[in-house]
Amino acid sequence: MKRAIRKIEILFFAATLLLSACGGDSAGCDGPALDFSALQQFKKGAKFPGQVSSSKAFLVVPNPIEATKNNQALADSSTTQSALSNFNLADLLNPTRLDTSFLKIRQRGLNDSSSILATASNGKFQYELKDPRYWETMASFAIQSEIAYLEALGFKAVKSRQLVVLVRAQSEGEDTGPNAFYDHGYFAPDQPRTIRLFGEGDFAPGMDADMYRHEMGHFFNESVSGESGFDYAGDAGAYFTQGAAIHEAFADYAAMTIKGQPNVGKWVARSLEGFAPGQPLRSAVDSGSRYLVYQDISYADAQGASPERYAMAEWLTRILWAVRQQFIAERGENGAINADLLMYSALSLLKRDSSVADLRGAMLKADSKLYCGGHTKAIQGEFEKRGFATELAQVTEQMTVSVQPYGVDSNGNATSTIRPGNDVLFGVQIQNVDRVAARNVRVRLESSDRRLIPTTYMQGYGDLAPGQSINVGNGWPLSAAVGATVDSTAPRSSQLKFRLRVLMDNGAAQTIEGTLQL
Amino acid sequence: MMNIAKTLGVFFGIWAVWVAWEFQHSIRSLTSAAEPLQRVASSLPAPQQLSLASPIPQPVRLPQRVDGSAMPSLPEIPVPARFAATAGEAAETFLNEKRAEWGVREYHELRPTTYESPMGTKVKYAAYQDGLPILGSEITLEVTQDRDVTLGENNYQAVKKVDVTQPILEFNQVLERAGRYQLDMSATSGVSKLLYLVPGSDEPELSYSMQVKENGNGPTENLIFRASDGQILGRQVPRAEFRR
Repeated sequence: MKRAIRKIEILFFAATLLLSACGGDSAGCDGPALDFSALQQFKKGAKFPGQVSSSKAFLVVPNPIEATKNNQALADSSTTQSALSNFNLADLLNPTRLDTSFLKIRQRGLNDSSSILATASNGKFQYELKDPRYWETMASFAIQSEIAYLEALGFKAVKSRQLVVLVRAQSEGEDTGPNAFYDHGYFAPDQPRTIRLFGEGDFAPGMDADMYRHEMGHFFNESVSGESGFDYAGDAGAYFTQGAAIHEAFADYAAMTIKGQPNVGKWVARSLEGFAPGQPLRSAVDSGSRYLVYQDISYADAQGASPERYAMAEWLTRILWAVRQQFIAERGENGAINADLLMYSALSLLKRDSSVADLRGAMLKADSKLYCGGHTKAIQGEFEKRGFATELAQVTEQMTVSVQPYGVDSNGNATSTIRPGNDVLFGVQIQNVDRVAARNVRVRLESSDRRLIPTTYMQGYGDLAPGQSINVGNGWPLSAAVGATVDSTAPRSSQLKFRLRVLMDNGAAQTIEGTLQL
Repeated sequence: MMNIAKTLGVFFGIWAVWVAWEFQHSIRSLTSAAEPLQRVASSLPAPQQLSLASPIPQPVRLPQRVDGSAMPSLPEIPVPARFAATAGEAAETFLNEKRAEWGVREYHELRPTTYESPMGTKVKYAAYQDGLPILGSEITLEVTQDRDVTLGENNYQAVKKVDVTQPILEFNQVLERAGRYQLDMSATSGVSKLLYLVPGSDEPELSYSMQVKENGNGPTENLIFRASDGQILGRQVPRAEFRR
């Protein structure tokens, strides 16, 4: 009997080996096993993996324009009212309130009176769209469904701190105009992370799921990358970096892929000048005959208006979206989920202050691990088509660089005198004297003297064409300069050494050393 | 290409069956060889029945020092990282093996945060002293599903111990000195204490991190002020959804 069982065991073992050997080629390259049905439900917010509250939220998702497919839709029009649907909410600590152990949603601040906050009545969170309690409810639903989806894909949200969301963060009576901010709080490790929405009126951002999902996208960028700080320079105040563009692109991508539409901000754009009704804030597909390429958005201009993180982000989402479309073409609706897995797996590989080239490399690596490299050509092809060449000619001639430090007095005025306690900004003039364009030119400030404390330690200036020059402090604003603070304890007349490194993707770094005379 | 892979797969499968069969056969041979010995052993009387010197079994006594106190217990043998049950345990084992090499000070506590993704798990250890985080001093380990652990990044700094009881300003005195900043407590308590390591220094500064608005306007920023005199050491800004 024992021997018979052993033989069966061996046969079973052999059969397993044979099956894995014969079938492994295709099964292993389809990516990890996923519960596509559940993931589709999480995406729609129709289902949650956690404890589902008995209370329902009544919402127009993602916003009145897209829910009604009417670019002229208003918050209180009858078509908008007819687009209201009810949704579940998850993990509520109390079925009548929106708080969870992780998420605290308020209007203006943590000290809001509970009497003004959304409270379920007869199991319903149901308010007029212009009511800030509706915005709270939208925040809860949009954020919870995003967490549910991305966690089910295998990317854990870092909940080591609470997330506080303020749906109208401006002070009473303050007119800030619309916007939204995410703060990951790297410099305050024991404080909650925050999302703050600003703006009221007919097209208040608080009504739009896109706004929360974009901001939550920033949160996931940090979570998924293991808080590597892939745009730490941006956190430290950089005016432009490619890492900042990646951050914005993936925040947009999060909002786009969940709703399955290649745009963000159709609602909030209604209150911005220069946008026609229904025109999105940013789009992951080209409109009309214009095909956006890297060269359109990567070159430094003379004023510091370009490159710009949001323009580069929009260009990047067009690549991400095109790759996503290829997955859909291969695998149908589930292909979008496979694409999301690829995108976020790539993010998880990014290190501090990453570039677009680093992201492309990470996408290829993630594809190799998840899908046996089956999309190498597609990924490289989309970057190439959008003007981001894989093979670059090298810049061999050293750039000409000159540095002009400015002291900043307590009123914020730049002066040529630098005193202890002042901020210092390093104006730089850089010229590319090579015949080859320099890609992703950056300046990084380093200090070996404890009395010179770098604050905005790196700035990106985009690509410099052959012969092109930029002048930060003359043409470009000084807000695009790397900066430091001189310790107030430094004696007058002392000298502080500094080092600037000029970096690029396709050439050797240059080092400029200097001394500040106090 | 696919056919070659499948053929190789079939050959590998057959080879594996053969290896498994041989392995099983060898084990069975060993077991059957041991069977007569087992039978002999079981027929022998139990050891205590043979012992004439100590017919009454003695209680087991732990080794003792001359003064009668118990000897220290044997050191726990660490389980290699690859046999750890969780990624966190594997990382912890690896970290403990590397502590001396990386010069981790005994007054530094390394607190882990775990990040999971389908590409693997990262465990980041942030350095603390006396309960205060040392900003940026951290070690990131990467753990595969097979529990292989590698160093991701090591930004740990074996810096001097800070006297956290040193006299410092109150945070509102710091704000008064800075002049143009107002504390924003709308979403947080607004103020934290931490240790900030200035480049070029080997001793962190006891500091305040504050969420402030400059002249009461604009987005909330995080500033780090040296607690002894209010000197600004660092600045961090939030991300805006679009530029205005």
